[in-house]
Parts: sequence; C-alpha cells; structure tokens
Amino acid sequence: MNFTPPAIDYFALSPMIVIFAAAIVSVLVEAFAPRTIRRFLQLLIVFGALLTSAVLIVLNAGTRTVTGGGAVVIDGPALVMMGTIVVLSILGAALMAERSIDPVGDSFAARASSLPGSEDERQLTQRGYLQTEIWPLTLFAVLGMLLFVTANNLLLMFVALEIISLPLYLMTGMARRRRLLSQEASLKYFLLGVFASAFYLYGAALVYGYSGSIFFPEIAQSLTSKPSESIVVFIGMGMLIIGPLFKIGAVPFHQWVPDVYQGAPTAVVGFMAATVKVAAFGALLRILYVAFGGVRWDWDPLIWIVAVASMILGSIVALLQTDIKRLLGYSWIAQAGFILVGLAAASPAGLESTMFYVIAYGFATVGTFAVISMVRDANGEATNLAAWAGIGRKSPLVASALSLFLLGLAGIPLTSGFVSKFAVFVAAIEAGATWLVIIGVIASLIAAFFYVRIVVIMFFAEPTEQTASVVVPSAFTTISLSAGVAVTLILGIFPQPVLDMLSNAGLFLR
Amino acid sequence: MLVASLALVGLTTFFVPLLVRYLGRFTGYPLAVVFLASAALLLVDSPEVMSGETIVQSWQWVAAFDVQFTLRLNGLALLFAMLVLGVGALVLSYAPQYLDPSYEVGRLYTVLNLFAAAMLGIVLSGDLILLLVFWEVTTLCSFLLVAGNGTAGAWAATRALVITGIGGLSLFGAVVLLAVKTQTTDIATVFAVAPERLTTTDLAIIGPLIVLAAFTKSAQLPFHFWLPGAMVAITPVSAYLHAATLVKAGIYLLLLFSPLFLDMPAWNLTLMTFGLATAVFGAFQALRQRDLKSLLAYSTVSQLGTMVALVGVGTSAALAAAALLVAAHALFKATLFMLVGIVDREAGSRDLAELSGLWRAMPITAALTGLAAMSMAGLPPLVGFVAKEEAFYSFLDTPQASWTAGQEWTGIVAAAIAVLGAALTFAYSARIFGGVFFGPLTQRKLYEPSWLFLAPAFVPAVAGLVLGVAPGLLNGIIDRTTVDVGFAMVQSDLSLWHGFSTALILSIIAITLGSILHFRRRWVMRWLGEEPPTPIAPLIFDRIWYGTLRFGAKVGRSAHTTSVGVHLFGVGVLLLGLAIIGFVVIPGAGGGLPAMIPGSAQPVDIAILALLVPAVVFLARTRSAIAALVLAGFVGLIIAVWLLLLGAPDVALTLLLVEFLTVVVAAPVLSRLPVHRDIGRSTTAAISAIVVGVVSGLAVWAFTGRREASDLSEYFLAEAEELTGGTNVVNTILVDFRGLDTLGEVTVLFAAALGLLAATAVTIRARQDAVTEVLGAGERAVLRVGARVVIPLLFIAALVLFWRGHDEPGGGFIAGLVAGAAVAVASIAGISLRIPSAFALLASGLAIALASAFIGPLVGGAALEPIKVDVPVVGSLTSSLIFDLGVLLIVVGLVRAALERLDGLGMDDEDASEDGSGDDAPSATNQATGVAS
Repeated sequence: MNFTPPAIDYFALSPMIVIFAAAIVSVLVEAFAPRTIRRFLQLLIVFGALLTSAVLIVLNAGTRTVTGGGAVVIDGPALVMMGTIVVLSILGAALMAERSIDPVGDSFAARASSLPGSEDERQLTQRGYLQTEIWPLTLFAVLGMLLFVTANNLLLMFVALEIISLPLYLMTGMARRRRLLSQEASLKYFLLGVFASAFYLYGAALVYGYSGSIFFPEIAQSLTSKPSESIVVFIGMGMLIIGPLFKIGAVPFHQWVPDVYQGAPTAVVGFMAATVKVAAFGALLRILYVAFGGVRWDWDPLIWIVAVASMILGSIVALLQTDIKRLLGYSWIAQAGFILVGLAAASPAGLESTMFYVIAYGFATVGTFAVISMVRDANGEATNLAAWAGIGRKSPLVASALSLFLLGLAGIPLTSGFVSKFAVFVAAIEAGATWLVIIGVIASLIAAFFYVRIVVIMFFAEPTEQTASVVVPSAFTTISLSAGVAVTLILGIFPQPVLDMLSNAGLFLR
Repeated sequence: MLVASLALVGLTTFFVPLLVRYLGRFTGYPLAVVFLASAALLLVDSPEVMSGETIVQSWQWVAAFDVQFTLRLNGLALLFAMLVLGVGALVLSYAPQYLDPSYEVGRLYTVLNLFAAAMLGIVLSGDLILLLVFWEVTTLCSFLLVAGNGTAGAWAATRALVITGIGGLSLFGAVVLLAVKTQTTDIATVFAVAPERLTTTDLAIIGPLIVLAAFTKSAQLPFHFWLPGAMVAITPVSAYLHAATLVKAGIYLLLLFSPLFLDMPAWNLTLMTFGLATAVFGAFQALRQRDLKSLLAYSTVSQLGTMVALVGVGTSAALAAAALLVAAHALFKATLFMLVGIVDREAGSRDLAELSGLWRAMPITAALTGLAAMSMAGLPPLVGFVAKEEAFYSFLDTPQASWTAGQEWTGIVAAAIAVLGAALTFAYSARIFGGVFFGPLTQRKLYEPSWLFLAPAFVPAVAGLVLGVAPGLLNGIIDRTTVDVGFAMVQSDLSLWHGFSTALILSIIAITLGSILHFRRRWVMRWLGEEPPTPIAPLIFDRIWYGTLRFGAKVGRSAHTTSVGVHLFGVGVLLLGLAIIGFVVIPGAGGGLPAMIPGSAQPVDIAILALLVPAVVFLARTRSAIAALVLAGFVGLIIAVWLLLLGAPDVALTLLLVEFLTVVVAAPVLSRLPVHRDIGRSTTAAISAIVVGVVSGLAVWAFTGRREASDLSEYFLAEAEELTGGTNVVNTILVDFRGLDTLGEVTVLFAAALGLLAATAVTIRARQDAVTEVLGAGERAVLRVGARVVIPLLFIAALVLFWRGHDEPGGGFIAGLVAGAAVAVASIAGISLRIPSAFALLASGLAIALASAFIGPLVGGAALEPIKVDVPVVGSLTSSLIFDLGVLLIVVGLVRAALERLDGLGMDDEDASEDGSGDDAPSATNQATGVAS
C-alpha cells in the first residue's frame, strides 16, 4: 500500500503547535526542574506560549485553508474562536497564577491524590507544598480547545474533545479547600463526561456508516446527494452533538455543571467556564452548520428543545441557590439556552450572534470568578450569599465590577450582555423562530431576577458578622478583572468593531 | 441642544457622590439647578418645535444592527421632558428638607439623578433601541430606590421589578420584532415604512407586547398592585417616580405608538376596557385606604387608567385630553405627595384615622393641599377641571373614532364610567383634605414647616391654579402633541368655561355624586366593607412565584445525587424521544434494514440466551454483593463460550481471563463493603433499566449480522500470512498491522499502572487498621495446597500461549493475563512469588516493546515492521514476538500493581514491614489478611 503523507500548512497550524510544544516542555519541567524555579519556568512557558499563539493567530488573519489531510480547517470563524480561547486562557491562567489571595499560597491541593481528611493530607499541607502541575494540564486543555474549533472530521473532533476533557476532570478535583466537594465534582464530571464521549463516538459511527466519510464537507455532500432521509443519520447526529452539548452543559446534559462550578477551584472554573464554552460552541456550530447544514430541519427541533429546557430550568433553579458559584453554574445553563436560540437560526446571523455571545460571556465570566476568588472569610472563599451581605459598602469598587458582570449576564443595556441577547434574538426572529424568542425573553426575566438579587445583597443588605472581606489580589487577578470590566463595557457601548470583525470572519469553510 | 440637555443630567450622575461628600442631604439643591438648566437647554429649541419642526440629532452607534444614537424633540417629547425635569427639580429641592439627617443620601441622589437622565432619555429617544435601553434603566432605578428602603421594601421591590421587568422584556420583544420586520430602528422611519412592511399579523403580535409593556409600567389592571406596594419607598421617590414620571412612561409609550394601531379596533377596545376598569377600580380602592400614601397610590392607578382609556378612544381630541391629563396629574399628584410627606414629618403619621384638624396648626399646608386636591377632584378653576372636561368631551365623542363604526352607545357607556370615576375621585379628594385638616386638632406642638420645605409644593399647586385660569397657555404644546401622535393640526381651544355644555353637566353630576359619596361615606363603606380587603393580585403573584421556586427546587435536587442513573435519565429520555420521533417522522425508517446473512444466527444461540437471561435476572435482584460479583462473572463466562462458538477463540479467551481477574481483584474490595448491597427497588429505575436493555438489544439486533466482511477484514485475512508470517489474524493485527496502536495502548496501561502505584502509595498506610479476617485458617491451608499445583501450570500455559500467539489463539496480551491469573492465585493463597516487582515488570515491558519498534529501522525497514528471521530448530521467528513480550510484561505488571494496591497490602516483604502492621515476619497470616481485607 502506498502512503502519501498529507501536506501540512505549518504556519496555519502554528498557534496549536506552539501550545502543544509548550505543554510537553511544561511536563518535562514538572518532572525535572528543581522545585524552587519550577513556578517561574511554568509561568514563563504558559504565558509565553499563550501570547505567542495569540500573535500567530493574528498573523494568520485572513487564512482560509484546509490542511493536515483535510482534518484541520483554519477559516474565519475558527480564527475568531481560537483567538478568543487563547485570550480568555491568558486571563484564566492569570487567575490560576494568583498566589496573594490564599494565605497558604494558591488554591490548589498540596497533593491532589491524598485522601481528604487523612494524616497524609495534613502533613503535606503543614509542609506548605505548592504544586505547579496545573500548568501542563492547562496547556493541554487549551490545545484541545483549539483543535476542537478547527477539527474538520469526526475523529479529530473526538480526539480534541478528549484532550479538553481529561485535564479538566483533573483540574476540577484539585481544590485546596473543601476537597470532598471538589473530588465529587471531578468524579461526576468524569463519569458523565465519559458517557457523553461514548454517545459522541457511537453517533460518529452511525454517521460514518451512513455517509461513508468522517469529513464534515463530505458528510454534507452525502446528505444532499442521497434523496431520502435516514433514521441512522438522524439518530447518529443526535448522539453526535451530545459531545459538545455536554461540554456546553445544556439541559439535559447539565447535571455536572452545578457541582463542578461549586466544587472546582474558583480560578479553574473561571478558566474553563469561559474557554470551554467558546470551544464547545465552535465545534457545535461547525458540526451543525457544515456537516448537517443541509438538513437543518432535522436538528432544529432538537436544538429548540434543548434551548427551551436550558433557559427555563437553568433560570428557575438558579433562583433558589444560596451558593454563588452554584448559582452561576445554573445561570450558565440558562445562558447556554440563550446562545442555542441564536444557533438554531442556522444563518450567517446565527453564526455571528452566537460567536459574539460566547465572547461577551467569556470575558464577563472570567471577571466574575476573579471577584469571587477575592471574597473570603476565615474558611477560605466565602461563596455563601449570606456572606456577601453589604460587601458593596465595604468594597464598592470590587462590588461594582461584579455588579457590572452580573448585569451584563442579565442582558441589561449598555453591557455586552444586552448586545449579545439582542443579536441572538434578532437572528432567531429572522429565521422565523419568534416563539423561541418569546420563551427566551421570559427566561431572561427570571434570570435577570437572580442576577439583580446578588447586586441587591451586595449593596442594600446591612453588613453582618458573617460578611466576608475582599482580599487585595496581586497583579494577576487585577489584570483579569480589569480586562473583564473593560470588555464588558466596550462590547456593550461600542460593539461595532467586534461585530465588524465577526462579519469579516465570514462563514465556515466547507 | 438636545444632546447637551441629556448629557448634562446624565453626566451629573458621576459627580453626585462627590457632591454628597461635601453637601450631604443638601445635594438636592444643586441637582435641582442642573435639572432646570437642562430644561432651559431644551427650551432654547422649543420655539422651533412649537412652529411644527422636529429637531433630530443623530450619531452612528452600532452599524451592524443599523442602530443610531438618535435624539428627537417634538411636542410630545417636549411636554414629557418638561414634566420630568420640572417635577424633578421640585422634588430634588424638596428632598433635602424631607430627609432625615441620618439618612444615607449618596445612593438616593445618585439613583434619582440616573433615573431622571434615563427618563429624559426615554422621551427624547429617536431610536427604538435607545428607547429600550433607557426604559430598562428606569426599571432598574425604580427597583433600587424601592429596595433601598430596608428589608420592608425588599419584597415590594421584587414584585415591582418582576412586573415592570416583564413589561421591559415585552417591549424588548416588540422592538426586536419591529426592527426585524421594518429593517430599521429609527422611530420616524418605522412609522414611515410601517404601512408597507408591517402586515396586520405583525401588528397583532407587536401591539399586545407594547400594551403589556405600557400596562405594567403604568400599573393597569391586573398589574396594578406593584404601585401601592412601591409606596414603601421614601416620599420624594414616590412623588417623583410613582406619581409624576416613571408610571407615565407607559402612557408615553402608548401615545408614541398609537399611530401604528389606530386602525385596529382591538387596540382601542383593549385600552378603553382596561383603562376604564382600572380608573373605577383604583378609585374605589383609594376610597377605602386609611394610609395617605396608599390612597394616593390607588388614586394614581385610577388616573392612569383614565389616561389609558383616553389613548384608547383614538380621536385627536382624546389624545390631546390624555396629554393634558398627564400634565395636570403630574402637577397635582406631585404636590399631594410632597404635602403628605410634610404632614408625615410634622405630625408623625400618614394614617387618616389619626390625623385631624391640622388646618389650625398648618394653614398654608392646608391651603396648598386644598388647591391640589381640588385640581384632582376636578373643580374649577384648576387645571384638573379643564383636563376632566376635555376627557368627558372625548369620551362622549368616542363614536367619532373610526373604529366604533359610529355606534352611539360607546360614547354614552364610556362617559358614564368616566363620570363614576370622577365622582369617586371627588370623594377621596375631599376625604384627604377634610380628613387631615378639618375636625378637632388632637395633637399639640404642631407648626407650619419652614418655607424651604413648603416651596417645592407651592410651585406646582399654584401652577395648577394658573393653568386652570388660563389653560390657553397649554394650547400650543397640546396641539403640537396631537400632531406628533398622528393627527392633522387642529386648533384646540382649551378654556375654563365652555358654556353649558354636556361636559359641564357631566361634571356637575360627578361632583354631586362625589359629594354624596363623601358625606354619606358610611353607606358606601357599609357596602364596600370598612377594612380594605387583602388584595388578591399580589397573592396570585406570590403563589406563582413560590410555585416556580418549588418546581425549581424539585428540578435542582436531582443534581445533588451521586447516582449516575439519575443524571443520565434526561439524556436517555431525549435520545429515546429522538429515536421514536425519527421512526415516526422519517418514511420507511422501520423497514429499511438489510436482510440477515443466512447462518449468522444458530440454534445454539437460543440455549445460550436461555442461560443468560436468568443469570441477568438473578444478578439484578440479588442483594448480596459477592453473589452479584459471581453472577456477573458467570454472565461473562457464558458470553465467552458464545464467542468461542462464534469462532473467536482469542476474544473468548481474553474475556474469560478478564472476568477471572475482575473477580479476583474485586473480591477483596467487596469484602470490605457491607455484605448486602442497598439496591434501589424503585419502579422508575426498573422501567428505565428495562427500556435501556430493550433498546440496546434492538440496536444490536438491527446492526449485527447484516453485513458481509468489510474490505479491510478481507485484506487482513488474505494478506496476513504473507506480510507478517503469522496465521493468527487477530494477533497479527495487534502486533503487526496495528503495532503502533498497540504500542500506544500498552503505554496507556503502563501509565495507568504507574498512576495506581503513585496515587495509592500513601493512602495504603492509612487503612491498614481496617483489615479484617474473613478466611479461616483451614480454608487458607486448602487454598495454598491447590495454588502450589495451579500456579506452575498457569505459568506454563502462559508460556505456551505466548509462543504460539502469532499462529494460534494466544499472544502476549492473553499470556499476560494468564500469568496475571497465576499472580492473583498466589495472592489469594498468600504465597510469595519470586518475581520482579510491579514497577520492574512494567518498566522492562515498555522498554522491550519500544526497543522492538526499532529493529525494523536497524535492518532497513520501517518502525514496528515485522522482521522475519529463520532460526534452526524452532522455525521462523519475527521481531513482533519481542514486541509481544513487552506487552506480556506490562500486562503482568499491571495485574500485580492492581492486586498490591487495591488489596491494600504489599506483596513485597519490605512493603509489608514498612507498613508497620506489627508483624515483622512476612508471614502467611499477614498476607492472607491482606487478601481478605
């Protein structure tokens, strides 16, 4: 058998290659570098690689190519998503790099494998071990995300899904405090994630069985060339999109979300909540718009159901939460529903509005979790809302920043959230899904309520003895927080440049 | 000057905290000046506006949605803007005197100022999006001002927020729809293109959304209840937001959009019905209140109802009357609120039952209240009278509107209801004035407040009188407003005296009826009931609210469980639904399967199933953990036999060994758990399990035995021997064709084993004390004798399987499992084997496997390419055998690592003593204990 190696456009792939190389170097540093300089080296590698990757993405602007034997596609939307992921990763990584907030050091377990509550753990904590193992994991996760939005076939997309997932499962379980919660979240995330991956694979097998190809454009072709619909491809597609939908956390694939948001280290939640959503929506958009773009009526109802269920359930359950991280988990579920409304439009406007929404959401989320990581009491982070009473009076700046993010998430005008919601709703109405928008509007109301509730608690409730204090962070968290504030405001008041960028990005390369 | 005016108020917001730092509660005064300055800036443009022009200023904002930052000043906008700024200036100069010195004023003034800017923004917006933005900001400000008043305000504020929030979002819906359908967000353009681009259907959707937005904001039935609730806010807030401005935003919206809907009878009918109903209902409620602020709140509800009804009439006169009433109401209601605030401050109460005779102590306050109350009651010569007259005219002329098709009764009914409303209004107005100021003075030490406190109320009260005497002053602005809401210019002729017209007669009837109601209050109250009933609407609201919360709690609970089944339930339902829908919807979906290949099902399958089904049933029902493990092993065994019968000895052998090792590794773990497992017996679980089983079974049936061997299979079968020298295709695929895959997999195995060793290194020590004895001494002895026979046999078997793997069933993986079984048996029996440690096995295995990959390149081939060597005596050998050896070692290493770590006891002597279990000698007892633990 003759084997021709595929032509590879190394420059187009360079943003990913840089991250991959850095991840491997990072593993080696973790294994061989002396403990004293490990953190310095790791931070150098991580931020260096992410910044280099960002620059390379910018240099690649305008690239429209399919490379790596058709497995990877670099096009406008892909570059936008990649850029967003990398920038958000920088901000998320800055949160993880913070060492001024927790008096012990950082927010990661001294040794993630030690049993919570054991003698072993006690000794390790006493010795004050600080680990840097989070960094290679972060880089691998970022690599997975970049691949996820550029994958042009079913198999590479699966590989990317796993590269994202495995590091995240681990990172979820690495919290220094409330470790049982963290580990339970990690296990739940892992178990359900494995199921989701299995569903994806099975779906991929069915789709391959029908179309005879794993490449998205060819799948699309086979769907249009074969005249009759097939139950095989219908069910296959349904199972296929469970992979990204699970990562997105849409109902009914949401059960891990609240636990992970609550249990994982806050910095990790900030990182993954912002970036994974971008990646997962990127992948979902590509599957649905490229591979199944011709059979929109097959998947639209499914997306409707998921969107409606996510918006309604996420909003209503969030009303009851007393833990701010868990609340934000449910809020995310609702937000996923809103974004799916835009996605269901299956139009260029749908693509643009969806991308705008995830970008806006990502920055607001990083900022939100930056604030949460700063609000602490004697037991570490104070995530119970009771501890937030009157925080706005003690630290008006930080509380105002959080209020801005929350109002942004609620879709209040002059924040990025308003423009996002407007964009997705317009896209949906243009596509004829007015009823979906009406449900979306009702859900936004419910959602607005619990966001505003936090604002009220912060500013209008009297501070009590339980009220936590706001710790002054180092430059790392400050930068993330400021970036979040700036983007949320700019996208709310002058969204035009970003909207231009998105419309210039054009459509998916088929 | 438009943008300057708006910017002046808007930007001031940023400086309010600074001002408050220096001026404290007196910040209200400079803010009032700012408002007046802003009003002056608008008035610069007013001559042009009055001459019929519309002033527009516009900047590009979000080009992608074609949204401009457009400000527009016409008559309607000017009228409302003057009210917003004028009343705002009054209220802000009132607040410093009203506020307690200890009150936290920073937030109040900031939000009030922001609110004023937003309200001004609403009326000046020339773009739908801009309008929406400002609309939402006013809602938010109102919420913050009400909620800011301690815990008492929190729930009322919540209700208000939810109700007005619903309105805001329905406005959002209307705006999005208008923007999409008309392709523009510029308000003027929307009206221009509406006839061609908006169908009746569009309007039928947009109309209700706008009505909903207006009704919630302007507290119309059935959403009225938030307004009385919002009275927990401090009085300046009530006077400004909940009387003069915020609630008028709904009226503004209806006026603004009425040109779109004038031809739709449903619009008019809805507005008139709800408006008049609200007018009468609010007035009745006002009559029953004892708390002055509640009374005024219901009165506002009632007056807003009248305005809505007037907009609903849809004639130019009616819209003009509505505009006039807006102005008149703002004047007298703001006055009344401010005066009630003064009474509250001076006399310490707002309860009508506690107040009386204040006239004696506070004559000026009494006189001003009298003026405002007369205006509200519609008595001449006040502006309220003029407005009411105009309203009566308009209601009487309802038949002139095109939508009524000239039916006379509409005018009579509308006017009659309006008269009833006016009579009730007269009655409660009289009650405010009479109740507070007449009768015996019961309190002592009451004084007239300072002139500074009174002045802000004095101005609008007197303005009401001036405009009442000379209503002609308003002609221009009212005329201009009617033009703006879609009518031709008419010269209205507002005046106090129209001669003995029908409207005057109606006024007289209303006043007479009102007097009777007031002086025979007891009759009315006997009929209505003395105490105000518990309002029903808030209860319904609360019920819906808490019902939603309960539903949320129910849904949210499932996320806390640790059962995977619960979490996957939704996914399963969705997939099942999808499949069912697919089969129903897609034509021919059920019958499209290719036929089974003959011979793929055999009679013996039935026998296998007959064994399998009961085993699975028992497995599902047993409560004993050990029994479950054994049954699961048994199921595996049957399947292995089945595979053997199907002609896959390699797979069967592998499965068999894996089953065996699973039992061996799991048994010690299980022995630590309770003997009886707590299996759920819930019907839901059973049903979902059965459904999942049936669906999977069907899928297997549908997808197997229907295809010939694939091209790839044919290729492997045909070429294997030629290319690799092996006849066992399964093995050749593993070590030759897919050598790289296998290398990857054993590396993963290696990593897993390493992880196991590293992760559990410390934790083992922690649970040494949990070890208990399960096996008796006799049992152990029997085991050990048996093991000594079995172990060597197993090792020999492993060797044989390994050696012949390339040609016959066997191979490195299977051999590894067999050897692993030997290790396991040794472990159970407590025999110490002299084999290398797990780590050594793993490391050497990986090293050998990797090294074998390079044999190919060394002799000029590719990596992992099988290299054949002919060795005398044994025949031909290939390099893949070396690779297979690596696989074998890694598998044994993994089994050993699992046994050591999961059993909780090291097999190595040093490990055991390091554990500090108290037993220095590596005795059998120690190891057996480990097995049992």
